[in-house]
This record gives sequence, structure tokens and C-alpha cells, in this order.
Amino acid sequence: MSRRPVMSRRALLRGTGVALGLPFLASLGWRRRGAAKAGGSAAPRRVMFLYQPNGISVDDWIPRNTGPGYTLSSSLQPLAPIRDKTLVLSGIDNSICKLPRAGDHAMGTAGFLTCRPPDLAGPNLGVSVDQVIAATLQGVTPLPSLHIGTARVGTAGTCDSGFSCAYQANISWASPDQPVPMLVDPQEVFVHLFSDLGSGLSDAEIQRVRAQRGSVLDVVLADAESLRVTLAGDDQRKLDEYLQGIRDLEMKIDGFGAGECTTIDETRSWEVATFTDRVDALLELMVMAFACDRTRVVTCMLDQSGSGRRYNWLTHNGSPIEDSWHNDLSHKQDADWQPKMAAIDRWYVQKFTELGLALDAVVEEDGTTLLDNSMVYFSNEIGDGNFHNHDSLHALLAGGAGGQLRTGRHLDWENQVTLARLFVSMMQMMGLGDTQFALDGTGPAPDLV
Amino acid sequence: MTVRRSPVGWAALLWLVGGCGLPEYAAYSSGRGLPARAPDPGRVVLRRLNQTEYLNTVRDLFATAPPANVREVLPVDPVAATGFDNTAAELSLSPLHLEFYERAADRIVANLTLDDLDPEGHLDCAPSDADQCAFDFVDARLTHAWRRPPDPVVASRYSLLYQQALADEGSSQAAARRTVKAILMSPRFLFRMEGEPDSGESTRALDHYEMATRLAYFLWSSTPDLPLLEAAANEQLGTIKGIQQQTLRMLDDPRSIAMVENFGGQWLLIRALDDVAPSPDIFPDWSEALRSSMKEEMIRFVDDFIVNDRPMYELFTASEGPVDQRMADFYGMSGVAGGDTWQTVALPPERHAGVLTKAGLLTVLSSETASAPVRRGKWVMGALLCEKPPPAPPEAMQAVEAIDRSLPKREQLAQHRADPSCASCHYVMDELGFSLEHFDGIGRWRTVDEGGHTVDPAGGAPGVGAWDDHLGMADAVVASPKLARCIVQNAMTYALGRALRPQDLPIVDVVTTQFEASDMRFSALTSAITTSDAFRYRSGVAP
Repeated sequence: MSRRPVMSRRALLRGTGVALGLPFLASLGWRRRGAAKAGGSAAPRRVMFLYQPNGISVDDWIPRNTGPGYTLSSSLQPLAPIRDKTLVLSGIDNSICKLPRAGDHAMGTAGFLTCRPPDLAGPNLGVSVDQVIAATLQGVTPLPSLHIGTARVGTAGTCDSGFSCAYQANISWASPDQPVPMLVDPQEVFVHLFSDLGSGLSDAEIQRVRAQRGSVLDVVLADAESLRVTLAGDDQRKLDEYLQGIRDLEMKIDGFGAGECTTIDETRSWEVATFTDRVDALLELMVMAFACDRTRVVTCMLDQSGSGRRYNWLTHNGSPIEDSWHNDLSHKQDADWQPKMAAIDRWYVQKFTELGLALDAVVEEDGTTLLDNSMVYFSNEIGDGNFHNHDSLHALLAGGAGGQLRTGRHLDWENQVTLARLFVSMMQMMGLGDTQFALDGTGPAPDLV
Repeated sequence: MTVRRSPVGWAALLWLVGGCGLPEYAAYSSGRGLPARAPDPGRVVLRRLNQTEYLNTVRDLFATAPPANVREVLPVDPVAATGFDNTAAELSLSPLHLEFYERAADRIVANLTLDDLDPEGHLDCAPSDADQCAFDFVDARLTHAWRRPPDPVVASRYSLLYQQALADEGSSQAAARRTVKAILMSPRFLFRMEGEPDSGESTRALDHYEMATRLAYFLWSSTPDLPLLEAAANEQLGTIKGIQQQTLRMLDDPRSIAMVENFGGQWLLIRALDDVAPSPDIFPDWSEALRSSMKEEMIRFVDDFIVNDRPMYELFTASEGPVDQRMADFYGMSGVAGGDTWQTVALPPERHAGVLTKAGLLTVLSSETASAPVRRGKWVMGALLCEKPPPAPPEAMQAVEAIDRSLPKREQLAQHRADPSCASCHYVMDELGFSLEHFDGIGRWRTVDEGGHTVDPAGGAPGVGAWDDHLGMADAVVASPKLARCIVQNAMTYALGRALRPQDLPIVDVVTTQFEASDMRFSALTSAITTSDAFRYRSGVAP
């Protein structure tokens, strides 16, 4: 059998048949490995976690009524094309991340996927939900998880209210003191995702690259292991982080050249000029990552916590929005903060929808789509940008998790359900046996299925 | 603590009795006498090279700047709670880092020729000596990259890799590349190793190579050069004199610009200029060229204190400074020509007081649309006087909500100071910040603020002094005994790569005394730190 079977013409046609001419998505030319196998098992589950900073204009965002017949709010208007495949959530409680002090951006971002409060002394949090899931996919996909951001973190200045910047710079935590760094450059994301396909290399060349890379790893691994025994407690723990990284890399090298994304365009330039181009490129790469089964877990910070970015490609009363998002709008300093915040919120819902549609355009062997088998979670580190609340949170959850999630509704938990319980449910839908998460994830969330 | 002019009674009193801005180590009372060796010099955990250190190290190992795409692939290290990105405990390493390090190493070696990789020509040898040649090559590379001579058993693993690669590839360049790639991925390169005390001992003096490494990453954010490694080999880094000699030599080296870019870059927020985005509606003059000139101005201004060993209080008072034509125009000076050429000129002395009035710092300490007096005052208080206000109480936001925004800024802020929970801290922050209100959101001089109100820079704060304007405020900061000590605390935090603890205060005292005795010269500051017990010793793991 060929190492990299070409995708079937039938699949290609089916794929293009549902492509919706999205502004950012190239037509489907790739398929995940193994999809061509006859009578394969059920399509795998996948999950994405998307982060929007600075809160929202709550009144424009939360639908007024609940249930399947809910009315799309003004900020949710762009959601219409994937409304049936999306669950709108409100009244989620994540106030467990809140300490009785200022620093809500740090606390909300730290708790976004961990459901824990940060430690002022320095990074000490908990494993984030994406990493709990990714740990079960170690060795199943080339990358256990993919972490994307749209902006590099600052390199000077203390962060929110004296907290370590690690809390605002990351949403994913591999261990209590190991934030997982993000890639922000689309070109680097492409390399990260696809360089291990070994495209254009013969089998012999692939063997040679594996041997070369492996020989290097063997030496540094032996070195680190002999070094480890000479180190004391805390030094040893630091070195263990290194050893884990080397072992992960070994696994990755074993998989070098085993991919089968036949139509990745290696010559395409991923250079981007503007923020919106960057967001579009990164969302497209996230879809490619799922479609090629490079990973099944993605996190993405769509902008930085406390971002003062001017969303001047959007307009209010015909004029570009030149205000600082965080200072002027989320903190309601500008007289027109509300419609301007709502315009930004709508743009995010639009991007979410485009992402959902792109995932829905990739058809699996059984006729379902990537979206049908995925969960795309989208939320915010705080609710209202000015009040900095960590309860009454809102979220979108698109995709069916393989038919497990009852979508097409607005569900209001009225602060009776914690975010950690939602994450327990999502972990279970990803096939994990866990019944608890973090501090107040005491069981699955109600009414999801 | 002197109070030259008593500001509103009870708010100031609250501050004085510790309602706000508690000195970080209030409990410690200074004795200024010090045992020869501190009982607890502190422990710095195994420290990973941060992004800057990695790039500088590679540049210095191979005498050539690493390709641009190496920077792209290395994750940025977030600024730690200490305010610096070289804090050991926060330099974690996620599994992803190793993948990035592999990619970075691939890109670095792909760019290097055999001459770059083996400048001594060890590999150019007779086939009969091949084993020895490989070993010598590896030994030289490891000594430099690992910042100490390798253990021969460990080194032999790397020379075996070279031989295996040579057999695979048939080319010494390819084999040397693969070997150097392994070295660049090795733990002894990526981490700075420091040994443990002998059993039964609680502390250990760093050996000469460990000292060389601490010196190099403190003063250069890079690896020791060969003279420094030689000094270590000759055991010259175990005495005050030997350490001082190297410290001064290294400050004299162009690589000490790293102190400006990284220590100054974070302490004085120079790097933060990369991230500001002033509103083009409000500041139509803002441009990328202006950003870059502002940054260059600060770097050149601060660098002069290292190069010419000037008293550091002048950082906050000097009215002369470097400008290019753009900055001269910006500061409203006529008759300065020269385009992109930098020259030192006397700026209008009624406006300029060192970094405190540099457009770059004032831009960083503004919002996108306006000057931010509270942020400015908080920075002066924290970065220059080491008075860290406790975080705002959770109710603070509601207090801010209630403020009438049509009032002059001073009156707006007086409103939140009406709330006792805010008053004690804000009194000091606001007063310091208001003294800088002559400078708008990008640091341009003005007499009327964005609300149309005439700027009133006069003020005063307990523990700092009273002033008529920003120049008076700068003088008060410089006159404060807290300034020298605060500079020392910042520099020591950066030098040691860890947060200071109360146990460090005797050492802070000694360093501060030496620094002050030198009239606050940069050379004395750095020498006092590098010869201090905190720098020369390491504690074991706490039992």
C-alpha cells in the first residue's frame, strides 16, 4: 500500500460540493489519514477552545429567551448559518477563579480553561481542560494539541495587578507551573503542523531523516538522564519538564513521514499583513489541522487579554472604530461604547461562524462533517467588560460531538452550573472517563444531551 | 521619612502608618553590619535560557547572528511577577518548547559552514587521528556552549555522535552540524547548571565557571566569552578583586548594551514601546518612525550611564540627551539638523528631567488616547521608590464608574480619593502622576490637557516631598533615600533571576551602601552585586 494514499475523487467532490465560498477557507484538498479505510470505526471527536478577551456588551449578546425557539440576539446574528449546530450557553459560573482583589483579566484568563484562581507568588494553577484531553491523545495524532494566538505577548511591564504575565499570556497549562506557549505566526503554524509530513521525500529519505533526528535525541536524552541523578529536588523537576519534551519529540519523529495530507500546498505563502488576515489564516490552519488529523485539540487566543486594539476595520455610524477596545469601550469610557462593543462582539461571532462553516464543509467517510464530530467552544475571560464578572458567563458551543450534544438551543444555567462541570461534560464527550475537573467540576453539566 | 509639605491630613496619615505603599520589607530594620558570609544567600532553581539569552548566546558562540526565523520559532517568555523575564522559577519548559528548540537548532546549523562550526580546525586532521580530532572538536564546542569543560565521559557521547554522523553523511560539515545541533538541544546548554552544597552544608560557593556564567548572563544576557572562561580556568573568579576586574572589563565591552536593552528595557519600560498603539485620531503625528526614534533615544540615553559611568540619579534629572532630528523637532527644538544622525544636545531645561520626561516612557505610561496620571504615578512609586501599592480593592471599579468625567482630571481623581479605601494609595500615585501632566499621551509638551483644563503640576506626597512641577518631583525622587535602594533591588532581582526575600536585606543594604558611596555609579552598582554573597553563593534545597 502506498504510504500516502491519494484522497478519493468522490470525497473531493463531496467536499467542494458543500464549500461555501468562505473568505478565508481554501477549497478542501486534504483528508485526514485513515479516512479512506473501508468500514472504519466512528469518526474521531475533536475539540477547539477559543478565547475572546475584554468581555462583551451583555445586553446585545445574550438571547432574551431560551430553548430551541430562541431569538438570535443582535450580536449573534452572524450565527444564523450554523445556528442549528450551535448551543448558546449563558449563566455559566466560573467565579471560582476570582480572588478578593483586583486583577480580573489575569484571574479570568488564568481560569478560562483551568477553573482555578491564580497564585500571586508566581505560576501555580492547574492543568487546563485541553491538556487533560490532549494527554489521552498522546501518540494518537502527531501533535497532542495545537496552541495558537493572534498576538505576541509584551516583553516589558508588569501585568494585571501584580500577577505574573504568564496568567494573561496563556490559556493552556500542561501542569500547575507549565503554561503552554502559543504560536502566533501562520508560517510557523504551518511548519509546526505539516513539516513532519515529509512531503516530497522518498521512503528512504524519510528513514534517513528519522535516523538523523533520532540520533541527536538519543544523545541528549542519555545526557539528561545521567544529569538528572546529580540534581536536587527543584532542579530535578525542571529537568523533568525537559525530559518529557524529549520523549514527546521522539514520538513525533517516529511519526515523521507517516502523514497523508496529499494536497497541502507547500509553496503557499502564509505571510500576513493585517490582524484580520492573521486571524483568517490562523483559523484556516486550525481547520487544516483537524482535516488532516494532525491534532484533535486546539486552543486559540483570538486577541490578548486586556487588548487595546482598535477594531478600525469595523464601523460605527459609518466611521471606523478607532477607540481602544479595553480602555474606551470595555470600560465604557466612550459615549458610544455599547454599539461599538457590540460591533466587535458581532465580528467575533462572525469569525466563529466562518470557522464552524469551514469545519462543516469537511465531510467524513460516513457522511457526517468535521463539525458534527467536533466541539468548538468560544467564550470570554469575563462577562461584562466593566464589571469584570466571572459568573453569568456566556459561551457558544458548536458541533455535535458525534451526535452527543443537543444543539440549536439557548440554555441558561442561571449560575447554577459551574464552568468546570461543562468541562467535565466535554471531557466525557471526548471519550474520557473523568467525572470531575478542577475544584468545582463535581460532575457533568445538566441538559446538554 | 521627610514630609516637606503636609498634604491633606488623614489620607497622608493613612499612607504614613502603612495604609498604602508598604515598603516591600517593612519588617526588616537595617543594621548595616554584615557577616562575611550571609547564612542564606538564596537558591536559584535550574534556569533555562530565555529567548533573548538564547539568541545572544548563539550569536556569540558562532560569531554570527542567528537567522531571523530562529527568533520567530522561539516562544516569548512572559514577564514574571518580578517584572523581569529572566526569573528562573517562571522560565518553565512545556513539551512544545523542545520541538521549537529542535527547529531553532536545525535552522541555526543549516546556516553555519565548517569554518563557523570548527573555527580552530580540529576536524582538519589526518585520518589516523580522526578519533582524537573528533574529541577535540567536541570538547572545544562543549566547553564554550556548556560554559565549562565537559566531563570526558559525557563528552564522548557527543564525539560518538559526530563519528556516527560522519559515517552516515560522509561529510565533516554535515557531521559537525548534527553534533552542534545536539549540543544546542542539550540540557547543559539550555539550562544554567549550578551545583549543590556538600552534604551537611547549607550553602555552597559557586565555582569559577558558575561565576563566569552568572556574570555573563547578568551583564551581557549571553554566554561567557573565551577570556572569561579562561579567567575561570585560572581560578580568578573566587576573589572580590577578580570578580571586580571581570565586571569592569565586561561593562566596557559592547555586549553590555544588553543591560540597557534587557534590564533597562524592563525596569524603565523601554521594550514596552514596541507594544504601544497611540490613537491616530488623537495623535496624528504618531508614526512607526517616531516609535523607533523614541526607543533609540531611551536606549542611547541610558547606555551613556554605562559607557561613561555617570551617577545614576542623573537618569532622572539630566536635561541634556541624545536626539536625532525627529526627536529634536518633537521636543520643539529649532536648529537641530542632522537627519538620522544622533547627537547629544541640551534640551530645554525647564522641560526635561531625564527618563521621566522622555517621550518614550511617557507614551508607554499613557492610554491609547490620553495621558494616564495614575499609571505614571504608580510607576514612579513602584519602579523608582519600590513602594508597591496593594492591588485595588474589588469595589474600585464601581468607584471609578461614579466619577463625573466632565471635571478636570484632578477633580475626577479627587472623587475616587474621597473613598477611604482608595485614598491612601491614590494620594501618592495621583500626586506623582499629575506632576507629569505637562506631557500628553505621546509625551509632547502642553499647557492645557485633553479636557481643556490648564495643567497644574504642583503637588506633593508624604515620604517623597513637595514640588511645583515635574522638575521638582524629579528632584524629590532623586533626594529620596529610597531611590538608591530601589535601583539596587531591581538590579539584584534581575541579576539573580529570582524575587528578593526578607533574608536578602542585609545584602541589599551592603550593595546600597557601596552604590551610594560611589555617587551612584553604574560600575559600583554592578560590582557590588557581582561581589555580593547572593551572587557568589547558592543555598541548598530547604530541608
